[in-house]
Amino acid sequence: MILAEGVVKSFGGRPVLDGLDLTVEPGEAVALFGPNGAGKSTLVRALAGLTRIDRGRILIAGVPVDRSTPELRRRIGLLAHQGFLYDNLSAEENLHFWARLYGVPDREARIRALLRRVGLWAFASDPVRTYSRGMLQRLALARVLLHEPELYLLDEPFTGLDRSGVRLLREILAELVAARRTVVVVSHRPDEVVGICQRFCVLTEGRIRHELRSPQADGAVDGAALVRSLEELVERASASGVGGRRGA
Amino acid sequence: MTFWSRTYAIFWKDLRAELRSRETAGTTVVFALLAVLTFSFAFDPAAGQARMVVPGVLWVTVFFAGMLGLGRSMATERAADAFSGLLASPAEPEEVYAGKFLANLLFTGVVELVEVPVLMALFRGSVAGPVLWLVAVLALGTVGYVAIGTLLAAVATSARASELLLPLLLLPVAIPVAIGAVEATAALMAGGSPEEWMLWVRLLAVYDVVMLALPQLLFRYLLEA
Repeated sequence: MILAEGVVKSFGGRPVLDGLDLTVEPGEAVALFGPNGAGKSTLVRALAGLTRIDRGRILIAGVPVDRSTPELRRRIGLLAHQGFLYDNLSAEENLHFWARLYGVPDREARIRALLRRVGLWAFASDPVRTYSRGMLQRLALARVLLHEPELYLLDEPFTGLDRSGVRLLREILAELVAARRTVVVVSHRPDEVVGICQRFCVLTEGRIRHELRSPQADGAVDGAALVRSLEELVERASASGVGGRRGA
Repeated sequence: MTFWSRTYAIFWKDLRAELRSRETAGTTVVFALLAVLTFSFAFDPAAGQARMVVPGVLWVTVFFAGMLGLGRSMATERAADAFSGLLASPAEPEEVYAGKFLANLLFTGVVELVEVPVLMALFRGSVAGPVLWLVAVLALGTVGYVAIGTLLAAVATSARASELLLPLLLLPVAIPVAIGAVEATAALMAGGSPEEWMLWVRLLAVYDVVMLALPQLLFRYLLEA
């Protein structure tokens, strides 16, 4: 589903992605970890076609991402740091807008079902500007699920969620994985995604330096041990400084 | 999904947001009325200056009120990083432009609907030429101004001081439409011969075609920048 080869992206002469390679098979769920500035969000935006890369190539479903068509973009769901939500519109109106844009059939029923699913039905008519951080994140999640994409690019989807929100998101992610959707999720906490994702990549200095597989895949380690291993790797990368660069 | 259905979705979203907040139309209409009122104190309506003053006051007010709305329209997209969301969606940048343009055109049209009667009443203005042609001039001038304004507002919002940058970018480029619209309006109000105002109407029509075509080539790159 995703093929990224030798991806290089620099901002102001500083390489954020530095020859990154990543392959994600259809139906696979991959978690990305790494210290701040490691290039996780840049990678997600590049995969969504929002950031032009300097070198290398990114193919989504075999199509170069910089030549993507409306049909291809319809197959991708992006949850970025900002939820792409309009303050002056209600939750329902926001979802209506995105549903129209994505050509979602039977909009009313789909929006109602999703707002109930993310626990926002009671606030459906309230302007989004009155929402808390967690409510915004739930609504942003509903927006991504709206058009039932094949590929989910989720940049720190757990941010701002309370315990029930985290539980809900884990349930939704598990459903997506069970439905053989392709998921790339950026996270800072391994325990949030262990048990859901099959592969765990640690980005440092703009490259994937470590890669672990889930116990379900190879039975080598149990979930808790995997979390510990990942936490150690992320900790070690973070200790190297911003982006995993020593002295940065 | 077609060009028009996605364009309509963006237009609908802007309209809906405006109906809820009344931020853009409310502010721009009040600004236009205050400006007209101020001009009515500066120029004596009783001195028979209407035909000389009204065309200039009309278009200056429309341009500045419109600029407030144009800046606001793009700022809402930048605030939620919604341009990224739109770029990642099936909508093509040209459809985003068209939706934003139509919404801005409607908001500027509302300003004119309120402003023109008040201006005419305050300055005791009258139209000696065909009124329908005056409506056409208003429409042509507004389309051209909003067409380039929507494009440049997208450029300006990516800058830090966007509210300062937009006038600097827009006003020089809008000079042809300003001249054409003011001259055509003045000629129509004075009841001049069709040759007098048709020249300016043609200029406005050509300007509109160019300014509507330009974003089809450039808007994609501006959004992606």
